[in-house]
Amino acid sequence: MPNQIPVIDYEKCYGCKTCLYDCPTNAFVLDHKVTRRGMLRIFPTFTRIDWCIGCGVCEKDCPCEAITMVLTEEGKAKKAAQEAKAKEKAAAAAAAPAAAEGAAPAAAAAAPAEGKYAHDEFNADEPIRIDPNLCKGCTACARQCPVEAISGEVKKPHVIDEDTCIRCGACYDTCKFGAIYNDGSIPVPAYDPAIAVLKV
Amino acid sequence: MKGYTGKILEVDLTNRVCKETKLKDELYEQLLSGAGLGAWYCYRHIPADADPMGPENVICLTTGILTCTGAVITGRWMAISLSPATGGIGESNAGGNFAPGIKQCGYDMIAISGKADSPVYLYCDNKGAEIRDASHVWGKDATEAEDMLIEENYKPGKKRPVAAVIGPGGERLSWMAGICCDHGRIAARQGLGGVMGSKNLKGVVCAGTKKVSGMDTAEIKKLSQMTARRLNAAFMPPEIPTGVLHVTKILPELTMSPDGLLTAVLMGTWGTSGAAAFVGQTGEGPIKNWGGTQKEHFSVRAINKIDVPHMLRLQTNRYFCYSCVYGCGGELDISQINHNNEGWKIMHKPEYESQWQFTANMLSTDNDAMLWCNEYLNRMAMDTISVGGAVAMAIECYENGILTKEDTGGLELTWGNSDAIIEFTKMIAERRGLGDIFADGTRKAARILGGDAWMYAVQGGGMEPPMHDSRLDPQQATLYAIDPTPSRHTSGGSLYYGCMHLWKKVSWAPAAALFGGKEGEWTPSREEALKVIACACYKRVIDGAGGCYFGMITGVGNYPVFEWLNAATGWGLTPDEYMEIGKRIFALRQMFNIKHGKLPWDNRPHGRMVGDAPFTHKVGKTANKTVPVETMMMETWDALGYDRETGIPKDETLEALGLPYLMNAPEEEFVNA
Amino acid sequence: MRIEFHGPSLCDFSKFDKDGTIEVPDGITLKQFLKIVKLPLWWRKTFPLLLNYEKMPLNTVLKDGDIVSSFTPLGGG
Repeated sequence: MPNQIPVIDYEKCYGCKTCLYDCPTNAFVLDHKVTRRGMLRIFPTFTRIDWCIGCGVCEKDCPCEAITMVLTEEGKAKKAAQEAKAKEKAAAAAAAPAAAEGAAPAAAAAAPAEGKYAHDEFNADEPIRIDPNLCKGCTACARQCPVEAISGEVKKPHVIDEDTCIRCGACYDTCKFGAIYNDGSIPVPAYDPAIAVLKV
Repeated sequence: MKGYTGKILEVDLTNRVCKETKLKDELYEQLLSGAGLGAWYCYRHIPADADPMGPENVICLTTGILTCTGAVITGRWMAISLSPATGGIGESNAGGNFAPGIKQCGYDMIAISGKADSPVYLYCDNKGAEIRDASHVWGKDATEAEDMLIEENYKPGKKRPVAAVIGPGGERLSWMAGICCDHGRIAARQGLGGVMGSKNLKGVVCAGTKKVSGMDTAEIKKLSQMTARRLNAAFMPPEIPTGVLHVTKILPELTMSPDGLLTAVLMGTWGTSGAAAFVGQTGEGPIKNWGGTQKEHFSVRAINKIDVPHMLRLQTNRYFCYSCVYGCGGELDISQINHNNEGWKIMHKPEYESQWQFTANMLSTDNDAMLWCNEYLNRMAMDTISVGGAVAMAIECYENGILTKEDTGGLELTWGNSDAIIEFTKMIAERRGLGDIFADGTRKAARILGGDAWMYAVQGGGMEPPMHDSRLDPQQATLYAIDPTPSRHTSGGSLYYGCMHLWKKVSWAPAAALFGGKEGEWTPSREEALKVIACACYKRVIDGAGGCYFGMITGVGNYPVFEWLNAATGWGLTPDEYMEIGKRIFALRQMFNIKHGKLPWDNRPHGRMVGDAPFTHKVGKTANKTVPVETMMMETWDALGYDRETGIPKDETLEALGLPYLMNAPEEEFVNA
Repeated sequence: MRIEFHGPSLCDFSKFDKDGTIEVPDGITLKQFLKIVKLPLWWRKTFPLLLNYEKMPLNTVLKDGDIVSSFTPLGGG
């Protein structure tokens, strides 16, 4: 079940089918029939919730801003859990500010402590990257990726192609090693799609 | 990202190798994407002595900068190559659903060279491209082939692929074959389907999901919403009978600068075929292979028999291309029409070109036959304009004794004989009997038949003209002649120029008079030449942006291409600077022709297209209308900075446009390592 | 005030300037403007009419620089 699904406002929709053709999982169908001004029009409908991954590409690409992503039950639960965790963290930080400040830069410089890339801090506006120091090469993320943006050999660090990645967060949710992050903290060596390996 | 991906795919079919190449930003700043990039690539990679149907020819499938950025009415893709029909640059343009497919695989362009040793198709997705076996779809018509290729490459829950395929027309190397997507949206002209067929390439399937965007998406969308809102306001109820357009008979003359936005009214409600009554009355629609007149040969009664209500009765719904909010298309239920022995069910509503070509230009009032031919040629993936022109020529040759019943295999190719028209169309598509002679266009047929056949081979530069009588529109006649891809109504014309209102944004574009002044168009002048040049340059910008002709004619204020391009790329260019890019692309295409031995005078239109004696009409709206096209061509060439006598761009013009560098500098200059 | 107008050649363009605008008294309505340019009633009732690219009521008061567009037939492609 996706965290969020699209809702089309047919008052704003002009039927240009951008959502239908841009959707990476073919979750739209062309069958919403409306007689508008005396002529039959057929608009896209969002139907395949089982295929939707909540990536929001339809909302981003709609020229007329007729699509809004709304949280599903699962998404709402995740968001509530996120907010609760954030509250906890804020309370902990307020309790011991000096200790936290000293630790953070050191942690950033060295290999990150476990739990830094917590799964519930997913930020859809940042590129998603894999930390090669933490990645075990288990391929679980690559198998989950709906657009096949992740590549790598077994037991070797994997890499996400930023051009292909649609930031749905499926890899982020899958990784058991906390190796996938998107807070922009540690730069990753350049990825060359032509040779699909890390260039060091 | 600046709207363009900065990457192209180069495919060598001979050695079955696919390579991705990154191009520098400077190239796009000089030539945009789409047809500009394609012309550049073809200039550099097709050898001067290449056979259009040989392995050295290259065919480029491209999209424009604005496709997939959120700009509306920008879902066009283009095919560019060396055309067998014209001998020069071949360029055709289509909408449908294929354009986003190319870009979402991460490419601005797919450039295909070589020849595969057996039928293949190209498959592209996020991981790259692969050449796959197509022997199981070779021979299938374009609709079936498209469905099969999509089905076999589709996994439920993954992106639905889109495909552009050739039909049997292209497989049989017809010079009138095109490339089809979405069951009938076709890049038809110049015979580029034949070029693909000569490479054993059945089609291209794209299933990528890569992100595409411009730099300022919010601004792009704001402009899109303005365009969509305005088009939404331009509405007319479908109950208005099209016959009301017969009133244009009494219009003193056409208005010179109409509001282009309101073209959406006619096109959206009726489709491009909606103006049959109008073009019949104004004389814009040619009659009887361009040799007749409405007054003498095609009465109002006849027009009413083929007018668009007959199509609208069958229409099930409106059709919109990808990202379009204008919506000139429609789908018809043709299951009950006469001649439909094949059991076809749904078909795209025929365009005006197809409608008029297969009715009034052949003096036929059999509307069902026209519908049948349209669907048949969609499935064969062939150009209705060119095939229709060939059929009309054959009819006239038969009526004048140049062809006999023996030649036609017993077929009575007479005016208005719709059964014969259908049969001969099949013969052309199948290259059967006499059809083989006509399958490569009217010019080739005239070469084979010789003598008087040239009188009836209506073409300019090897291309059959569309159904817009250039006798009435000298600017259009000039564009038919000077565009390196000749005989294209989408190069422009005074009616379209009047709609575009370019003078509001481009400093040197002359204003079209609001009313009156039409007579002045037949007198060659610098002002007329500048209007022609403005049309031609603006169209190149539109093609580089991936825009649609109908978007273009709604006007620069309603279809803000310059603003969209700036929002997508961040270049901050003025409209004049974009028009310079248009001039550059235009000159590059001219140089392509010259490189391949096609001199500019080759595109001089047939006498019937410009009213030369003895083809001048005596009655009706086109009576005594002769276009001094040669003087106009020379005047336009002069205004462009080309040699007045030959049409070849002068060295200083090429220098000023930076073309010698673009044409001749080594590859490393343009490629990002 | 100056109003820009695009319409069929049935209208009266005699008082228009080359740039497609006409000088009219301040404060007139759209309906009054159409009478000045002599747009036939049946044309106005059949085909769309836009003021600044929106559908507006006929009693809308015009202001300087407004654009009035009426349908002109154009076909093909």
